[in-house]
Amino acid sequence: MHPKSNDRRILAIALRSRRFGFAVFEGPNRLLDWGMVFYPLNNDVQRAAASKRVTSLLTLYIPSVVVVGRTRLLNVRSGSGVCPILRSIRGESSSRSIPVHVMKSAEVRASFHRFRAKSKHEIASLVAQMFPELLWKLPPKRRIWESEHPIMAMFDAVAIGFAYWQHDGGRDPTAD
Amino acid sequence: MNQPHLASYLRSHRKRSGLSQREVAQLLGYPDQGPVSRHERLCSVPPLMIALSYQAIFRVPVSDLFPGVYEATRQAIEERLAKMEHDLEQCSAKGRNAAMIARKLEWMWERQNQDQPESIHASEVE
Repeated sequence: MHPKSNDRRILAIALRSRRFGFAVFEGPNRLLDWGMVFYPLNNDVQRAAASKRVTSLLTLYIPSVVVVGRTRLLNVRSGSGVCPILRSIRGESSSRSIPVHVMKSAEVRASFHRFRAKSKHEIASLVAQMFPELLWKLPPKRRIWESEHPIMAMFDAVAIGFAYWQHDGGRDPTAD
Repeated sequence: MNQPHLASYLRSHRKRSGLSQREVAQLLGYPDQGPVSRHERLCSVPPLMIALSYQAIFRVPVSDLFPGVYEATRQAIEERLAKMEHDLEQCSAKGRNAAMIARKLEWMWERQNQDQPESIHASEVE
């Protein structure tokens, strides 16, 4: 596996109220890094630590674009943990002249329709098949009475990154 | 847009393997994961033995694990070689010294014409 310098790197982020999942792509088929960052609500210190993690990801991978999945939390809970994190992502990215692209969940789902993956678990399973290094992290299918497994945010981030490549991957965001 | 080489792909290969930093540190003989974390972020450059150990663990050439470092080193060497070649061409020597200079220039010419070695392969090290 030889690294190709002409493959653009993107940082995909899936926000949740108390955590975010991230995935770093180099080209559409190569996943460099992935993981979860947790931050409790109403704790500015730990929220700052989460922002610091975004900074370290931007410093380490120097992505050409940051793709953030749009979440309903951005509309209804301006005071929740999500908005300060998104603000810090935008702030850190703009200080490095990295564009931030907010991706609608409908766009993400549409990218997986042609693979006949509709539910979150189907999308996560498909993502795990595409990137077998994630397969061991795939949680069992959620039952109706169970809450979402925290690791799903990471699978969402990978799905957002994949969808970005499908939609805008051929276009260089810095070329405009 | 051409993106610069990533300084280190160590973290990427480690995560793909499923190994934790502590486990990699254990394989390298470190007491804790600190040095592995620093190598991943390139806060410190690993010593030769450790770099070769990473190559042995992940079966990836050192130049592919640290392409940014390799590219910077390669460029510096190419610049120094070009300067040395220029100095040798300017040099006026006779007899044995002239033959020595001719040999060096010949080697540099051969080197420029041969294919660039992409990387040091594990089999060569073994």
